[in-house]
Amino acid sequence: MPVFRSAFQSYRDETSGQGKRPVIFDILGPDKATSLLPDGLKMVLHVNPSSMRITHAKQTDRVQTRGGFVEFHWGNITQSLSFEQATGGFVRLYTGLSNRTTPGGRRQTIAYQKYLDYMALFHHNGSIYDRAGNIVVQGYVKVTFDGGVYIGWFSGLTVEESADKPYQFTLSSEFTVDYELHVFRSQPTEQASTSALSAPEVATSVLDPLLGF
Amino acid sequence: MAGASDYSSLTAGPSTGLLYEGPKARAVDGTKKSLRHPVYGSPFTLRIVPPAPLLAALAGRGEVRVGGAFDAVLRQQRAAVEAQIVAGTAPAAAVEQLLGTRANVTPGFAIIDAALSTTTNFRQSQEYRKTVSRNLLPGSASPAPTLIGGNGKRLTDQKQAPGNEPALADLRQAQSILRQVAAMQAAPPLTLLINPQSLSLTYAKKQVYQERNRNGLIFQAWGEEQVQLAVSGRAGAFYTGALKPEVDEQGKTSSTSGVQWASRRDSATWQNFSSLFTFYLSNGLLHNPDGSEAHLWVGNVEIRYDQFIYWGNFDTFNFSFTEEQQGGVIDFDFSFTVSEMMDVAQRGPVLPQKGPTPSPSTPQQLQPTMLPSGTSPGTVSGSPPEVATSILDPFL
Repeated sequence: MPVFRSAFQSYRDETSGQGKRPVIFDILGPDKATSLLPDGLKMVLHVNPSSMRITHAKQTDRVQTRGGFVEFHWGNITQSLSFEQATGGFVRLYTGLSNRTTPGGRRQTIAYQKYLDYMALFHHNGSIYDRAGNIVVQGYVKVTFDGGVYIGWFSGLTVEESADKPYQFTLSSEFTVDYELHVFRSQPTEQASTSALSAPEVATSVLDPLLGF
Repeated sequence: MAGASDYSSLTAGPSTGLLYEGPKARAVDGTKKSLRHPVYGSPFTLRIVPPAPLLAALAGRGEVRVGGAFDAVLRQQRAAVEAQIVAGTAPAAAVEQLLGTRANVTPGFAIIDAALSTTTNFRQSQEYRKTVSRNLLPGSASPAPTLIGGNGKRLTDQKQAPGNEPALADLRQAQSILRQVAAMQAAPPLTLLINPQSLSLTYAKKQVYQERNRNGLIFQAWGEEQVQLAVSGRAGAFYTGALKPEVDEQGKTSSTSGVQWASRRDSATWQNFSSLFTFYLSNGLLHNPDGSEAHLWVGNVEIRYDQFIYWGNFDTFNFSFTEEQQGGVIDFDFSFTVSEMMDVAQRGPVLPQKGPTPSPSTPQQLQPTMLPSGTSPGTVSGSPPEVATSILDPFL
C-alpha cells in the first residue's frame, strides 16, 4: 500500500462520488476529438492549481461617423486560461520533506515526478515531430475541469523556486483556448425558507480538490 | 428564478459549445429576494434585444412565433416534393422551385421572403434577360415571365429591373435569423442574485486641442466616445440540497448538499452566473449557421439598473476559480460598450423614499408581501390607500 498519495488517483475521481474535481489533461488529434493517449490514460496533477482564471474578449472595431458610431463585430479574439499552481511538497519516505538536489533527493518524489510529467505535456503541446524536429502534425491539448472543457495549446510556463516556499515549486501557466465547451446543469431554483430541507442534510465527504487533502 | 437552460436556445458562436443536463442536487436561493424587487429593490437586470430593424418588423407583423420559426406549410410542400424526387416522379418545374415554393401564407420579413423566392428568381431572371434580348429585335416582342422582386412582391412591369431590391440568397440563413430572433424573444430577463460589487461608467470627450496656428491652439470638438461600463462582481456560495440523501458505507453519494465545491454546478449561484456568461457569449449577435464569424445581424444586450437602460455589447468577460474560495464566491468582471443609454426615471419633486422593509413610522408603506393573500394594496380595510408608484418602466 502506498504511503504517499496524490490528491487524485486518476481522471475517474470526478465521477467517484467523493466530491473530487481534478483538472484533467489530454492530448487530442487535429480533429479535436480523438485522444492520442492510450485508452484509459489521462493526466491529473499531484494537486490541483491554486487558481484558474478564464479570460474572454470580443473584437469590435468602432468608427465614428457624422451619424454616430459604426461598429464592426468580428467575434471572439483569443480566450485564455491562466493557472497558478504549486507542485506540492517534495516528500520522501522515512526522511520527510526533502530539498536535497543530489541523487536520492527531491527528484525521487511523487510531486517532482508529476511536475516533470506536466513539463513534458507543456513541451509536447499536441505536436507530432519528424526526425528532423519539424512539427508535421499539430493536435490540441484538452483541459477538463468540473464541467468545463478547454481545447487549445500551452503558450507559456514559468517555474519558480523560492526560499519563502521551500520544498515545492510554484508554477504559472498560460493556455490559449481555441474552443471551449461548458456543460451546465439546470433546474428551477427554490427560494430558501425556514421550513425548507426538512430531511437532515447528509454531508458528502468534503475532499477539497484544490488543496489536495 | 429562471434556470440556466432557459437560455439554452441563445447561440454562442462557433468557438464555444454549451450543453445542458439535468440536476443532481437541489438548487436553493438563499439571497434576499426583496432586495431585487423590481419596484422596491435595486435589481441589476440584463436582457437580449433583437436587432432594431427586425424589432420593427415584429411590432408591425408579429409573424415570428415563440414556439417555432418554421413555416409548417413550407415544410409540408418541401417534404412532398422531396418524396417525389426520391420516387422519380417529380416534374422538372417542381424540382427547380423546391426551395422557392411557398403556399398562400402571410409573408414574413420581406428580405426573408426574397430568400424563399430567390431560387425561383434565378431561373426566371435568366428567362427575363433572354426575353429582353429577343425583344430588341424588331417585331419579336414576347411576354416576359413574372418575377418576384427582392421585397417579395411580384413585378409586372417589364421595365422594373429584377434583383435591385436587397435580398437574402440563402434560405438556411433566413431560417436561422427567424429561429434566433424567436430565441431572443423567448429568453427571460436575467436578474443577478447578487448585485455587482463595483460599477463604473466612463465618459470621454473626443476632442483635440493640440494643433496650433499663429493665434494659438485650435479646439476641435468631435462629440463623445461611447460610454464604457466596467462591472466587477461576485457570485455567491455554492449551496445545494440533496436530491437523494442516501450515503453508502464508503461515504459516496450521487447527490451533493451543503456548501462545498462539489455543489457548484447545481447551485443557484452557478446557474445565475452561467446565465450571465451565456449572455456574454450571445452578445446580442445573430450567429451564422455555417460556423463562421460572419454574423447575420447585430442586436444588443440590455442592462437595466438605477432606472437607466443601457443598450450595447460586451467586450470582455473574465472569471476565476481560487483555492481560497472553495465553497463559492466566483469573482468575475466584464466590460460593456454602450450604444444607447436611456434615463427612465420618474420626473417630479423629490419625495420621501419608500423603504424595502415595513416601518411603523411610515404607515402608508403597505408592501405586497405584508398583505393577506388575495388582497391588493388599497383594499385592506382600515388602512390608508396605497399610493401607487407609477411604473414608467415599459419593461415591467
